[in-house]
Amino acid sequence: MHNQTLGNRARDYVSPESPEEVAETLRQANETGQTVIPVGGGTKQGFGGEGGEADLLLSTANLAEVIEYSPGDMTITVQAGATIQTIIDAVREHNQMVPLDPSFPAQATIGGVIAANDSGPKRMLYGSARDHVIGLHVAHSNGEILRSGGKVVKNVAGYDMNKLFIGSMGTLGVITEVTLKLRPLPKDQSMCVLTFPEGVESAVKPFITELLDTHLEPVTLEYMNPSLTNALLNKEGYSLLITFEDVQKAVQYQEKWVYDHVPVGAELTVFREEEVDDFWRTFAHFSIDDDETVVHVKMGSKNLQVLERVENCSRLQQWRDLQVFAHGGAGHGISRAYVKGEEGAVQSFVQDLRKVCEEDGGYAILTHAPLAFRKTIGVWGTKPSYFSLLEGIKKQLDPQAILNPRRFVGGI
Amino acid sequence: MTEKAEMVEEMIRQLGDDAVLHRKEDLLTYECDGLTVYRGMPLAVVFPSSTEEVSGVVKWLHEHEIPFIPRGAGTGLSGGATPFGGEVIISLVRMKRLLDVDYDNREAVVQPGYINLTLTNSITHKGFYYAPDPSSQACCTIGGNVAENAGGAHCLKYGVTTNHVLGLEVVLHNGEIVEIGGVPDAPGYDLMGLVTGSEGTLGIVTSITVRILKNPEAEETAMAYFDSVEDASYAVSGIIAAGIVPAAIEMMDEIAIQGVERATNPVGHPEGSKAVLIMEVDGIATGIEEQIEEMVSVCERHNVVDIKVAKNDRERGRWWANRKTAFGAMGAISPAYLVQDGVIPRSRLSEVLAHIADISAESGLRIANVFHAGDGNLHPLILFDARNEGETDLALDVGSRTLEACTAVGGSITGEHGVGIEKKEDMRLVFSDEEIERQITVRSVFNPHNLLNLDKQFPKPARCGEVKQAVGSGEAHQVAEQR
Repeated sequence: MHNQTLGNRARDYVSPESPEEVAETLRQANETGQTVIPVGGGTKQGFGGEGGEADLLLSTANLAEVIEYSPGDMTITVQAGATIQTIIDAVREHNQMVPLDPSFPAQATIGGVIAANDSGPKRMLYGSARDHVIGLHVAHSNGEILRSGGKVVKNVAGYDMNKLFIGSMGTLGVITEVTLKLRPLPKDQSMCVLTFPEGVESAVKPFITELLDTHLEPVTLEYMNPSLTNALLNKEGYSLLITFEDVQKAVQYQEKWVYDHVPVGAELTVFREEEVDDFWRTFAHFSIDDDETVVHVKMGSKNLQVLERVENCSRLQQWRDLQVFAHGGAGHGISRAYVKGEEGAVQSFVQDLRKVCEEDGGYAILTHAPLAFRKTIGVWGTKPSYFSLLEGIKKQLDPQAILNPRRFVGGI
Repeated sequence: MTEKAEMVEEMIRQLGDDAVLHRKEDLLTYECDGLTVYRGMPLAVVFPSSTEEVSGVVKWLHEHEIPFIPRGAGTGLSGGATPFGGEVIISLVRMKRLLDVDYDNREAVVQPGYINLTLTNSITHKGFYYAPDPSSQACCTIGGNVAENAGGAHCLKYGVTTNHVLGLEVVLHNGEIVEIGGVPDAPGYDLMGLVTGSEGTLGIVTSITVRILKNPEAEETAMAYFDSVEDASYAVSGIIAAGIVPAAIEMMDEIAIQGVERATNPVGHPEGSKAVLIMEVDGIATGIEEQIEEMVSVCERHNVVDIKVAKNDRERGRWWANRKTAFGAMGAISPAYLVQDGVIPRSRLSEVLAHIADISAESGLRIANVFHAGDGNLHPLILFDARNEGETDLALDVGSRTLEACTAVGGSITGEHGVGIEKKEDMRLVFSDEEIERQITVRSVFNPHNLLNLDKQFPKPARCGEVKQAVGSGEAHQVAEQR
C-alpha cells in the first residue's frame, strides 16, 4: 500500500504492541521533537499533507483486537487497528451490523475511518462516524491516554470530545480504542436501480423530490454519473441507487412504489438479497488504475445539490481529456469524484469544481492525490473564517505539533 | 457610578429599556432553572432580539470581565442556567423565530428561543417533524436543547440533538460571530459537535439549522404490565435481541405508576403493577404489525400480566402525556423530588435497579423510577420533603449514590440533563483529573477567561494551574466545591 508519490512517509517505522506503548512512543517523540504519522490500513496515504517526510510512521497494525462485544447492549469496543471487516464479521453472528460503509472495508481500520471521517452511501439513513462512535481512548502527544465518551449510547457528561477526533486526521492524538453503537441487521433488503439515458437525467430531481415526499425510508439515494454507471452496472446513462432495508413486507411495499413510479425514459432493475451486498461491496472497492494522475475529490453540499455536483463533474469533464467517475447521495449531501488524466487537466478540473462548490457554500477537498499535486492546489480549499479556533485546539492538544504536521486544514 | 449601574445603563443603551431587568424583585425568577435546590442572584437579565444584539452585549461584558450565562426557557434540570451570583443572564427568549424551512433538503433554521414542539407543529401540515423530544418539549427552547444536547423518549431510534444539528451560528466569548457546519463534514475539527452539549460554556448559539424528518407512515404503541421490574427488564433486552429497532421503550416502576395515576393525566394503570413498559414501533405501515406481534410475544415469554395496543392516536397521545408528565406528577405523592439522569448498559438494568432499591431502603427516601429503558437512561426520582431538616442534603447524596451505581457498571452520570452545577463533582466518577483537565483546556480556546457560564460543567481539577500553586502553599483542599 505504501506509495512513493503519495507522501506521508517517514524515516522510521514502529508498530506498538499495546496502547501504553503508543502513548510512550508519543511521549518520547514529543520530548525529542520528532514528528509522527499515525497509520492504520494505509488506505488514506494520499489524503492530506503538504509537508515533507516525518520522523516516525506509527502503525496500529498490532492493535487489532475486539475488546468487548455486548450484543445485548448493541455496542462493541475494539482496538483502533481492527478493520471494518473484522467488526462486521464479529457482530454478524448476533445478527447485528456496524452501520458504516466506507471504502476498502477489508483494509481500512476503524481508527483510520474515524480519523479521516470516511463514509458511504448508507449514511443517508444510518449517519456517519459522528453518529456511531460513543467512546474513544486516545493517546495524546504528552504520553497520556485519555478517554472520551464511554460505553453507553447516551452520554452528556462533559464535552462531547469524541467529536473532536472524528475527522481530525490524526492531528490531535492517536486513537487506540473505539466503542461503537451497532444496529440489528435488516431482515430483508433490496435495491432499485433506475438508469436514466443521457438527456433524461432532468427527470431525476422531480422523481427524488416525489419520493422524499412519501413515507418511504430509503437507506441510499446514490446518484452516479455515466462513467461510474458503466463501470459498476455495465449500463448507459446516469443511475440512481435506491436501497431499502426493513422487514420483508416493508421492503416489498417500497420496491413496489418505485416500480409504479418509474419516470418516463428510465429503466428499472431490482437487486435482491445477496445481490445487494455484492453490489455495495464492489462499490466500496471501486478504484482506478494509477498510471496517470489519479485524484479523489470529496464534496459537501445541501442534500439535493448533490445532483448538481454530479452533473457539474460531467460538464467540467467535457472539454478536457479526463476520465471522471462521480457519485453523490441525494439524502446526505456528500459527493465524490474519481478523476484520472494528464496532470494539468486534472488540476484545472479540480480548481473549477472547487470554485463551484465553494460558491454554493460547500467545499471540495482532495481525499487522494499525489503529494506534488496536493502541494500545487491544496487539499482543503479556502480556510474557514473560524480558523483561529481550530489552531487553538491543536495548540492545546499537541502544542509541539508532532502529530501529522501540516496534514490538516490550513496547515495544521 | 457603581459597576452594576454602569452595566445596566450600557445594556439599556444597547437593547432598550424594556430589554433589561435589574431590580431585585424582577430577578428572583432567574435565581435558578428547573433544578431548584441551588440558587444564585444574577446581576441583571438582558433580552437581546438579534444576533447583533447578542454580539454587542457579549463584547461589552467581555471587555468589562463580567461573567454571563445564556438562558433559554429555564427548564434545565442540572442548574446549567443558574447563577452562582453576579452573572448577567442573557435570555434568548425574544429570539424565537422560525427563519426558514427547506423541505426538499429536510432542514429548518430556527433562532435559539424557538420552542422545540412549535417546530414540529409548524411543519406537521407538510408531514414533517423534529425528532428530539425531551419531556419539556412544549416549553423548552431549541437553543437550550443544543446547549444540553437534549434527548427524549424517541432517541432510541432517532438519536439525540447532536445527531440533528446541521449548522450553527455562534457568538464567541468576545462577541465575534461565526458560522459552523452548514454542510456535512465541513473541513476542520467538528466544532458543531463540540459546541452541542457544551452547556453554554463555549459560545452563545444564535441560529440553528436542524434536520427535519418525514413523519413515519404508521406508528403503533403498546403498553405492557409486569409483576416485577426484572421481568420488564428482560423483556426490553428480548425486544432488542429480536432485532427490532423500537422508536421508544419507556419504563415506569410501581412508585412512578402511583404518582402518574394520582396526577393530571391518569390512564388507569392497574393498581399494584410493579412495572409498565410503553413501547412504540414506527415505519412503513405494512411492516408494523409483525413487529408489534413480535414485541407482544417477547413480553409474553417474560411473564407479562397484561398487554394492550393503543386503539387510536388519541389513546396513544394520552399514554404519552401520562409518561411525559411523570416528573411533575411526583408532586401528587411527595412535596419535593430530585430527578437524576444516570445511564447504564441496558443489559445491566435489573441489577442497577436492585442497587437503587437498596439505596432507597438504606436512606429511607422513596425513589420512583421513570426511564428510557431502551437506551439505558435512568431517571430515578428521589422523593423528599425539604421542610424536614437535612432531607434536601440527604436527597442530593442519594442522587449521587444512584449515579455511583450507574458508573460502577460502566455507565455515565448524565444521559441528557447535563452536568450544570449539580453533577460537577460527580464528573470525577467517570473521568480522571487528566481527562477533566483536558476538557478544560479545550474550553480555554473558546472561553479563555471563564466568563461564559462561569465554573459550570467541570469540577476544579486537582492539577490545573492555580491549584498547583495552592498545593505548594498547603491549600490544596480549597478546590473542594460546595455542592
